[in-house]
Amino acid sequence: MDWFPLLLSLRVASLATLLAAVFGIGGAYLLAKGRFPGRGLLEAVASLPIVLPPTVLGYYLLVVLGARSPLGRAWESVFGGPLVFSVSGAIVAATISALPFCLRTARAAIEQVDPRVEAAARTLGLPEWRVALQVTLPLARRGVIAGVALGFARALGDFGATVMVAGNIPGRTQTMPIAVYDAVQAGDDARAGTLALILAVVAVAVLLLVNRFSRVGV
Amino acid sequence: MTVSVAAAVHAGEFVLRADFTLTTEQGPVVALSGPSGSGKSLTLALIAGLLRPDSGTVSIGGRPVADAATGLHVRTQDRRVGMVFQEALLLPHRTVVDNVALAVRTGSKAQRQERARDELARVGAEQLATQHPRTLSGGERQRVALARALAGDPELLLLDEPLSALDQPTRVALRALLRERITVPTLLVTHDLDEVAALAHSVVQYEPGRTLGVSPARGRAAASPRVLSP
Repeated sequence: MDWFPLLLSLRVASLATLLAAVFGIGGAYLLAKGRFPGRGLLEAVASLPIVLPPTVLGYYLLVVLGARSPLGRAWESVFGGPLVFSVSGAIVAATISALPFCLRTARAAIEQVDPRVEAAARTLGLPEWRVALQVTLPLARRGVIAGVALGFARALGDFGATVMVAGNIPGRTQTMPIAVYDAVQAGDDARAGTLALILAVVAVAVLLLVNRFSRVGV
Repeated sequence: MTVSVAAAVHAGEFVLRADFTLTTEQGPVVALSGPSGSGKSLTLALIAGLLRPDSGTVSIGGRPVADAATGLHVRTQDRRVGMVFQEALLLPHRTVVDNVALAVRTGSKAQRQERARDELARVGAEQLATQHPRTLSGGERQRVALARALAGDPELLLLDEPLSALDQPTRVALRALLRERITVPTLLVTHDLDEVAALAHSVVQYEPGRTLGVSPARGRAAASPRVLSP
């Protein structure tokens, strides 16, 4: 049994979840508390990965990050290799797929925090960043954790965006969901069954975690 | 200490026009008194900077802190007010002593904790220090909230119906505590006339949507402190 896809998937999903959590929670706070022009547009764009077919999302990521795009060239000049068809590409695809789950769930939780508790904290002299980190986010933590867990599940399970951006290179960019597809195509039922079972078990574990922490709807 | 409010603020359909200048020359406690829904709490929110006036100005100790015409708005954090609300609004994920220490503005972590314990002792709540707010009774929570408000060395204390959610015996006990503990200039919002009589040195009278002016309180200000003290 080749464990490479599992290890790669765990690595990609962990890093992608970390990135999606940082940007998702930060974005959720901005959207929940900020009043600025373009807020509605930002929210819509951040939610696109939920409604776009993953292959379409992957296609646009290829357009934006490909070797001929300005971003792609900038990446290559800094890191010495292309972003697409690399593990980094898979991480970017998984991050973008996970982001809206972190963002929307965290935002709902942040909006449910009693604004009077935040007001009380302001009267104690806490600057805004301390109100955010020491009052709002701890009070919203259940929803924030649930969102991050959903983001992890999404990052671990992404097929379409990852295969478009990172390709299907066994031993290099072949993550679990892609390996399942590969095994089925090759008629290796035992391998497909094992990989699928592992993904299903992780998914159920994440849902149990989410249900335990979440009182906020997705 | 003087506090001047000459401002209007809209809250949904409700409009408050507040116009008064109060001083704490008669004594530190000034009551904002009047029927429920007359705009007393809104006035405290204006003074604390939790609300911006739609027109007019607010100043604390002669310093303008809000002016709708120029857009001046000193942030709540920079106004040096301490506030206690009808509900204690303690942070549920922090212990009592941490809640109070959060308000201490200077010193090392150990010094802030020590100051927090001192403040808790002054309101008779030192034994609650390591507990979490959810395990406290309503009266205990308000004691902690008062300690927390005082721990920031406020130049002005704002009490928004601090006793009205409590049962009668607890209310009487806390009224005595407030009477004894309060030395900083304090604005007390209440619709309870017993509270006004027991605590206030002067009174800003409200009717729905507007203030009627400032007058000396009949109870406490008229009597000499020597007669009242045991």
